[in-house]
Amino acid sequence: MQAFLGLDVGSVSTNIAVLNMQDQIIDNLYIRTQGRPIDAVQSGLREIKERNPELTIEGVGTTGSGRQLAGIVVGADSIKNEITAHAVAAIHIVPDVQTVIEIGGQDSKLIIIRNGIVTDFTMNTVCAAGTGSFLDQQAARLNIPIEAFGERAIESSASVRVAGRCAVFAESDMIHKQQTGHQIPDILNGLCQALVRNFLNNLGKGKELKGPIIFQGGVAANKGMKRAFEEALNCSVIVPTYHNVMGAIGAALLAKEQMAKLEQATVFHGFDIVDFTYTPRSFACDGCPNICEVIELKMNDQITAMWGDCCGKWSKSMPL
Amino acid sequence: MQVTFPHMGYLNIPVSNMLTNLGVSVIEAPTITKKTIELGSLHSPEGVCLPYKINMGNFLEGIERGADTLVTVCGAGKCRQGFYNSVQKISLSEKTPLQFHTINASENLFINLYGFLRTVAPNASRFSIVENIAIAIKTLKALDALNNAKNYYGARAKNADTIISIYQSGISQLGQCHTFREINKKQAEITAQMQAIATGGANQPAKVGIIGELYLLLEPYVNHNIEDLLIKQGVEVKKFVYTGDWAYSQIILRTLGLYNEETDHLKQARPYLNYHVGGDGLKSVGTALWCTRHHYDGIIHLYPFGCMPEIVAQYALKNIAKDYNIPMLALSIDEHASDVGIITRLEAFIDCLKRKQK
Repeated sequence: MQAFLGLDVGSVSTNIAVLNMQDQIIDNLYIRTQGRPIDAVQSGLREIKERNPELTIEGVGTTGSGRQLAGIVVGADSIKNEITAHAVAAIHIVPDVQTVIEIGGQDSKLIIIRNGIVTDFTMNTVCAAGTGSFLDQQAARLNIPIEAFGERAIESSASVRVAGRCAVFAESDMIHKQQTGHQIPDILNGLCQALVRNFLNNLGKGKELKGPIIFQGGVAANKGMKRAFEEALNCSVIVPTYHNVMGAIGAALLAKEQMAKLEQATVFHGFDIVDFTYTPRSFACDGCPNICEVIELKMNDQITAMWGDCCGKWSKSMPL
Repeated sequence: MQVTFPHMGYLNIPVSNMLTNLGVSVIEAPTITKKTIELGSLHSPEGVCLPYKINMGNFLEGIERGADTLVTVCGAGKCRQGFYNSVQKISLSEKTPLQFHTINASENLFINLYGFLRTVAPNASRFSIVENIAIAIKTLKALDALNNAKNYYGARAKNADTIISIYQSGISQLGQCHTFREINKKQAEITAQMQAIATGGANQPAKVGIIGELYLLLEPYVNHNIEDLLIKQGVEVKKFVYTGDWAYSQIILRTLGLYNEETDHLKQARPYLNYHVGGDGLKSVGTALWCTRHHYDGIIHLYPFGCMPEIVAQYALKNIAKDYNIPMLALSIDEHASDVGIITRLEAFIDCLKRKQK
């Protein structure tokens, strides 16, 4: 079957989506990156191949913070930032969407869409307090599996006010609330509300958040966060079925768009790459006082790409 | 006496030429690199803005090379930067005995600049000082024009890299010119070279206005080469702050009483901001409004992290963006800002403009 492949290599998770020619999602995968993006891509693709042996890939797109690396590893036709990818996917799933809230492992975004076009966006700059990895940490500290976090939070009917401006202060505030005898569900609910407040203050300032509002990214699985957003915005928030692989869906759609524009065959290296050996290496260039950290990627013992230098001394030496 | 001064874009070229021609021995600080920023940050209070830290780095690297006389421009009252020179003077003089000259721009810049040159070049004639100031301004204006041309033609060329390298070599070639005629000729020649390559169709590329704090707009190393990043994606860039224009209007027009920056910007920013908020805050708002009224596709607001005037301006800018429905990207930059974060946001911003254009 002909299909487009989208990969979203993020800080916390690596997601893959397979779309058929009618843009329907035929398979998707959500795995943890665990700091090894190349391994995650390889094992993810291996699983996709095992589940769908009949695939013919017509185009591949990558996105997420590991998009460059993943793009070189798999041979991507389009390498796009995660903001565009998330917006494209949201418009695909809910065509009349006007607002996208996306909270991932390390960043959060707010995308404003009007008439199917992104008109504005913001991305958190300073702190990761409201993002998935912080929730992960807090869940671990309270010994609650992250999957159960949301369920526990919505058990609460009385919330506790938690300072959500900064991850460190939020944590000490939560500990303080525990010590004074508040119930865990109430604290979790308070945390959700604090993070939502933080999100809206940081990213939502001066923006008109009109419905339909989509909430996507890994954190959208958290029912406590969804409820807190609905309460704060005073309207319902849609969490799409594939909320945790939306970036990958967007990447696949962008790959399709790119292929239609280029009218040439995909540069995808094929599923064989799951057995290739990739060895990245970094070194400090001593050509000038900038001392750039240059990254060199070897594919089966052959240097395939170099990047990270600001003058192009190394990256331009590669035939691309 | 060995003179050094902080970098800001291509400002070093005419300044160096001017001083050398007057018989002053100049030691140029090395171009800004990561080392400059690290060195500057190490010797600066943590909370000051990025321009202070980099200026400091430039001075330190200049001193390392043997400079003993430091020159800087300041404008007390415009923003905190106006007082930085006094702090820098104290902290740098602790180590070695140094001469520190400050050219005050909030008073009459011409008189101050002239006075400074008289002190460091006592043997130069009055005529040659005035002549060299004039040539320096002319060179700066030519450099500004080339920068403008690069941003215009670069967005229209198939390969923006070629335009950028023509521009780069053009900058150093202009540095070799010493008369008005030579400068004019060189400027025309380089512009023609760029024009010849920019054969892009009749399509108007997406147009972005870059506004914000002066130093960040003018120093490409600090703003992560934002102009080149944009034109490589086929986006026309216009910025509204140019050293040449600034020096021309400050030194000549203002001396003649023909120009007043403040009232100009006040008029432009109305009704979104009606007060001076220090620094370039009012100008940012004024130019943003100008861009929206001239049908720009987007605005990028660049400022150093913690810059008070720009933070105040942002309040007005957000209202403009909302009222005119124009995409606006705010980038706050400090020594910790990573390339990746900026590139991701810029890329998304460009996608947003291009998809809107379609």
